[in-house]
Amino acid sequence: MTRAWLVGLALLSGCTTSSATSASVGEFRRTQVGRYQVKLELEPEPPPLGELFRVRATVTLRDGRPVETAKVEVDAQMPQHEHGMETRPRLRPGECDAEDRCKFPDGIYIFDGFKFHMSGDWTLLVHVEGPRGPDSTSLIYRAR
Amino acid sequence: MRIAPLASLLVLLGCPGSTVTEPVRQPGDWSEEELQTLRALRLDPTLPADPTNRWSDDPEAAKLGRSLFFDPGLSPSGAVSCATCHNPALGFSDGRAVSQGVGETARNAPAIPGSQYGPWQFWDGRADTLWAQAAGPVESPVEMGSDRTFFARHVMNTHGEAYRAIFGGGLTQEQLDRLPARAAPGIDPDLDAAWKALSAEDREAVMEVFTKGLKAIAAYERQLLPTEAPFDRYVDAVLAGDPEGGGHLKPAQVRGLSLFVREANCTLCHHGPHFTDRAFHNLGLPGLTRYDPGRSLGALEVLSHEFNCKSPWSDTDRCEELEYLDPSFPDFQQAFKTPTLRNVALTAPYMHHGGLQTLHEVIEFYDELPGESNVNHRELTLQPLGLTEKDRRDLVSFLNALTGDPLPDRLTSPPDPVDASSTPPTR
Repeated sequence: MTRAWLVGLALLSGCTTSSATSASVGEFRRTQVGRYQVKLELEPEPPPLGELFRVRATVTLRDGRPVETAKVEVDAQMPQHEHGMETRPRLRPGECDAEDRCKFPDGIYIFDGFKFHMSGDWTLLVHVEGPRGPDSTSLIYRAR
Repeated sequence: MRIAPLASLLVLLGCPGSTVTEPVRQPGDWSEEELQTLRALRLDPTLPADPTNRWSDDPEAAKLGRSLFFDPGLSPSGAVSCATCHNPALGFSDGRAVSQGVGETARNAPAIPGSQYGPWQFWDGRADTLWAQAAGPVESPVEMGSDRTFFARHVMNTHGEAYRAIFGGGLTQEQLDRLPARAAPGIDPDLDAAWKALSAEDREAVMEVFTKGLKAIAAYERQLLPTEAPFDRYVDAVLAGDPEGGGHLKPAQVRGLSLFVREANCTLCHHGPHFTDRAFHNLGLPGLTRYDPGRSLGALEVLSHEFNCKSPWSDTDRCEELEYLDPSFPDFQQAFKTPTLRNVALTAPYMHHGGLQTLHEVIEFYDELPGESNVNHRELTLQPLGLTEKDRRDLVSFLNALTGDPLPDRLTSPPDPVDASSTPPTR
């Protein structure tokens, strides 16, 4: 899985991601360049420390229409500790046709296998490769 | 997963974690956030189910498991049982730096109470269930020095009635008559050859008894739950509105608790009802005389473990922890599992290598962080604490308040005398 987009995201966002808090979970936020809106939901919320949880990413265009055919990646890191997760989350399969073109109804992408193994600030990063091109966003989630 | 460039960048940019300034509070004067932390640390007796073992909560299986746990006849030496390294009087540890079975192990014996709750067993997490863990010491040449055929024969010969009442089946007399004294795959060439010489049917029968015996031991171990400690009673009283916490902690212990959750920030890793994040960290310990890969190897081993959650011997196929484990996580190098702190005063010496003799030495280590890791890097969250000698003593005093009430005698001794001489060494 390529990680180049994460570095780009960091360059673009600087410290702006630090101003976000767990209050941003469950709310739509505009991606860096403004091509999409993304809502992240953690299930359960809050996720118990050291236990697996899932992340539901809802992706729409700016006008609210769902983006159902994007390539979406979500990751979580603790930048101040210089590490990510001890797990490899996986995207649940969408509805795919015989030619492996997949659709994610209502623009909902569900990832299983997230785990916050430490308390503290985790950066949730989202990258979308969709019909308007690539774009990213991030938010800070305080795990406790 | 780890992405160093991004992490370094954010740190360089000075992105802070928390810049909220809290008012200075006296020990025992808890903020709302700290009360939440204390509530989260309070003992929670709820025990999650173990779907890998359908007998995990069967009282008769637990009773058999208790007999097996204390039975040195499971070792061909007739001298080593599970209780040799997991002594109830020492919090189910053994008081040694590294354990002594029929030989010397490489690591300190972890305590059992509390181990029921985490997804990983052993210091390096190379097993994912209690019963898979139990297989390790049985067949370790330096622990019980046994093997699955010897184990199965002994279970049937000495505990056969109880075994059949719980599980049914077992080895027939004809099988017992024709099985070799010892046979197992992969331990040494002789045992391996004897194992390969068995018929498929006999191998299957031995495996059946072996794994069910292990599950009985696990059913017993699940009953060894951590018990309420003075700390828990203090928390209950504080949460009920008594700022003195019912007097359940001495003033030095309250100061130690305050340091634990505030200045020393021990709850970063020692959180939750068992004071552990169940994760793996490289502490950069002093006195390591050899490279031990720790979790970096344990993570690979558990994925291919013969008795893991996904194995044919497991009673479930829902194995999410294995499903999503990332064995290539870079910080697994020389990382070991965060141990529970409940009953920690009973389980000296400390750390995976048993290199720190007392709790005071442990606090001293975290306070000063001497040296550095010889592999990868020490956990970055660790910073010297700048404690006073009094602070150190208060922290130790607090850790003593995590010693739970004694377990009932029915759990800390064998159900009836086991005559080790009933099964003499046969090889």
